[in-house]
Order: sequence, then C-alpha cells, then structure tokens
Amino acid sequence: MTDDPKKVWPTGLTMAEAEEVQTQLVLGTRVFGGIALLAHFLAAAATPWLG
Amino acid sequence: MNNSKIWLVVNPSLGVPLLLGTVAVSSFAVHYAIVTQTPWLADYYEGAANAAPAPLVVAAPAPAAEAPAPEAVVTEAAVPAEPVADAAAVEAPAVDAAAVEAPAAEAAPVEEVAAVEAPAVEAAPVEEAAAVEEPAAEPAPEAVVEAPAAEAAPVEEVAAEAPAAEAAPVEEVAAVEAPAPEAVEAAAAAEAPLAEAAPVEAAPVEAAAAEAAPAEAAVAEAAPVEAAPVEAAAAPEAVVEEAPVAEVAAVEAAPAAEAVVEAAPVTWMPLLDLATQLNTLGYTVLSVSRVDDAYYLVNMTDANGMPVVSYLDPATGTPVAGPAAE
Repeated sequence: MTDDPKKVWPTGLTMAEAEEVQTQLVLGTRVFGGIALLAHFLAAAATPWLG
Repeated sequence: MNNSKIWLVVNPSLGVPLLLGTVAVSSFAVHYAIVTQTPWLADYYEGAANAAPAPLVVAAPAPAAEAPAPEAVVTEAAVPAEPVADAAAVEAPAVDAAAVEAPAAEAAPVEEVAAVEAPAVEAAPVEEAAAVEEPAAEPAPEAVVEAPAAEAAPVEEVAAEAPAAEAAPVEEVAAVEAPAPEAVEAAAAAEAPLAEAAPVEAAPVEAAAAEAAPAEAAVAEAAPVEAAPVEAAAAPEAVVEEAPVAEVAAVEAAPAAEAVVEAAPVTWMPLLDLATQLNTLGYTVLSVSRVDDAYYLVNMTDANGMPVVSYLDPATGTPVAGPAAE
C-alpha cells in the first residue's frame, strides 16, 4: 500500500512528506522533553518539591 | 518509519494541534493542581520554605528542675568541717556523694542548673526536691532529724555535717544515708541563707543523727527518689553552720522547682550579635522583630538572595519552631 512513493494520500501528503512531518514532530517533542526535564530537575533541587 | 504513515490518513493540520493541545492541557492541569492543592508551593513563594530547617527544641533554661544538674560541682572547699564531718561521715555510706570533703565549700554553682543565674540560693534548684516530697522513705531511713526544725523532719533530710561549710552544692551527693544508691541524687544543703529557697530550710541536726551526712560532704540530701533519674540540685551557697551541727536541708521539692522556673526569664540576645551570627552563616538580615515575647522573627536572604523567614531562639539565635509551625 505504500509501495508507490509518489502516491498522494487522502491527507494530501505523499509518504515522503508524511515522514518529514513525523520527523519534525519527533524532533520537537525531544526538544520539548529535554527542556521539561531540565526544568523539573531545577524544580526538584531548588524548591520544596519532592521534599 | 511506519509511525509516519499516520499522516497519510490524519491530516497534520488537525493531528498536530490535537497532539500539542493535549500535551499543553494536561501539563497545565497538573501544574495548576500543584499550585492550588499543595501548601508547600505557596509557602515557598512566600519565602518561608527554606526557613528554619528543623525546629530545634531548645531546652528552656528554666526547666532546670527537669534537667538534672549532673555536673553540679562544688567549687570551694570549705573550711574546717572536719570535726563534725567525721561523725557523720563514718556512718555515711554515701560514697558517691560528690560531697566535698573539704569542709565548707561554697555552693558550687551548678552550671546546668537553670538556676544558675539566679543566686544560688534561690536557685537552689533542688530538682530532686521533688523527689523529696516523695516518700523517699527508703533513702533516708536513718536520717533522723532531731533538729527542731520540724520541716526538716519531713524532708528527707540532709545532714550537713561540715561545719562552717558553705553550701555544699554537691549535686549528687549521694543520698548519704540513703541506702538506695539510685535514689541518691541530690543533695543540697542549705543554710539559713538559703531561706529564699524557701523550700530548703536548714535545721540543725545532731551529728549522730546525721548518718546521712556523707562523710565529707557537707550536705547531703537524701534523695529518696527511687528514680535514679532525679538529679540532684545543687544548693549553691548553702552554708553549713557550725561544725558540730549538721544542717538539714529540708527541701520541699515543689517549691524549689518553682523557684527555679521563675528564675529563668527570657533573655534576648543583642540584635547586633544576632545579626553577626546570621551574617556569619551567609544570611543578610532585612528585619528582626520579637514575636509572642518568645521568638525573634527574622526576615533575611540567604547567600543566593532567596528570601528566608525564620523564628529564632531569643537567647541563642538558633532556629526554633515558631507559632506558624505549630
């Protein structure tokens, strides 16, 4: 079903385009997660959070 | 990656906002709950979170009564106690008696005795006094007081043999007579001067009677208290009268205890000293106020500039649990 890389799917994207969207989303999620992780470490260290 | 195929059937213009929106809403909900449902975050923002670590319980000086004055030491040796002492001494089993052999000693200012500040006399922190009240019968079985002093009698007695000795603050003067080793703790001999110590009255006792009297020890109170724990209170300046006579310190515990308590007023360390102490610890004092006549409430910032509010002991400047903590 994805054999044809040129096929335009109902969403208007081709397989290559879908992978591009996915790649950017994963990248954004990683950046967001990294920032959040850092923020939580700081919160744990500098505030009464977690005792 | 097969995961990317989702975008072949789900329009990114819907899927991406839905994904990000879900993350944003859930994250907001969690943090909102923390802000509204927990007390520590609000306290933290108000600057109280890092305040006084653990409430230290500072032993009030007053409670001398409870606090045993183990260390009471007899400082001065008295003069000539010998004549009398011996007699009593002989019988006196009290070995431990911290008694001062030296004849009259002045009462050793027991440091611990909260009473310390107070003139020894009043202080007469005879804690054990309490013990005294107790029947302590055992201890002073023999303590026979012929002494006219009626009071003395009730009391377990202490016989002070040392002549002229001044107070024998011997703390643990062992209960001389008191066979009960445990019991023995305090012995405060008081002389007339101790009058204030109301509780303690000296009554001349016959030497003989004074078995109790620890040998050298000027005074010994039988601390009949079974509870060894009782600590003897030192009767600082108790003075023994004439050699031959032994004084009995009739100590009534209760009164003595009270006296001690009263003797411990709240003392406030100078603000300059307090500020210096806090600066040494890295804090910058912003303001200081007295709360409930029992604490110093200090607003300050720590080395990192974080605001800190702490209740401090008025005498030592150490953190204590303030009213808020209760």
